[in-house]
Amino acid sequence: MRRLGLASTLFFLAVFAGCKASSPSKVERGVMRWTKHTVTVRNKSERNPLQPTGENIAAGKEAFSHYCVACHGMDGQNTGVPFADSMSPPVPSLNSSEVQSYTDGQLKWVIDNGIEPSGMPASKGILSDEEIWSAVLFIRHLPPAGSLGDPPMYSK
Amino acid sequence: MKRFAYTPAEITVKKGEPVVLVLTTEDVAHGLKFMELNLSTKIEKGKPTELAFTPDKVGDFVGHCSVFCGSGHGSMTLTLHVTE
Repeated sequence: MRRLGLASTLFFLAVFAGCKASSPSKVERGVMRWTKHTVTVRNKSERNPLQPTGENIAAGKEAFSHYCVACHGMDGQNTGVPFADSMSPPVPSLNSSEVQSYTDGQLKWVIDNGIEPSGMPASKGILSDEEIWSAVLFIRHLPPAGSLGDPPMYSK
Repeated sequence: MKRFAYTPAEITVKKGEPVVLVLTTEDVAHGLKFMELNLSTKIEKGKPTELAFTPDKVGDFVGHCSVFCGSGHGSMTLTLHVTE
């Protein structure tokens, strides 16, 4: 009986040791980035039907403010989002090359469908197509980091 | 209207004839925007709102709620059929 208990203990220790999580290496991050940009995130060729006018960008800012700001901040650069760095993976700055190198169609696809298994949810049906396209324009024309203050839900 | 639908969801009007839509909301503030027709209005609860226009082109146009109203906001639509 003791031998069985010892064997079980060693088995579970081995299993849990195998489950240990650590930050991804540079190579792993590179592979994930390549996979998302070229395989999993679709709609690469669709163009934004909205022109980048001041009015459309302002509409995008408005659409973005409905609930995107809860994770991405008012400026799309995580300003004032208390958990942005502690999520796994961390919430990316929308001004980063990782995000900006997606095509407009891919950004629309990400907002529509989300990215599993990150924290990015699907928003199709929550925002209209027009609002999402305008939000893509806003993402292409983000204001300076911190210039819009913290999201209202986190303001003291 | 109420979250997340317009009643009726479809309206048919004639091109060139003036139209006045009287919009009321049963719950929260909503909006109605037809991008292709350059029409937009906001509707507050307890305050009937008129949207007057004269359609100048034939077709089917989909208007969306333009005031964020919750999880079904993006699929809240009103279709306007404009006939000859």
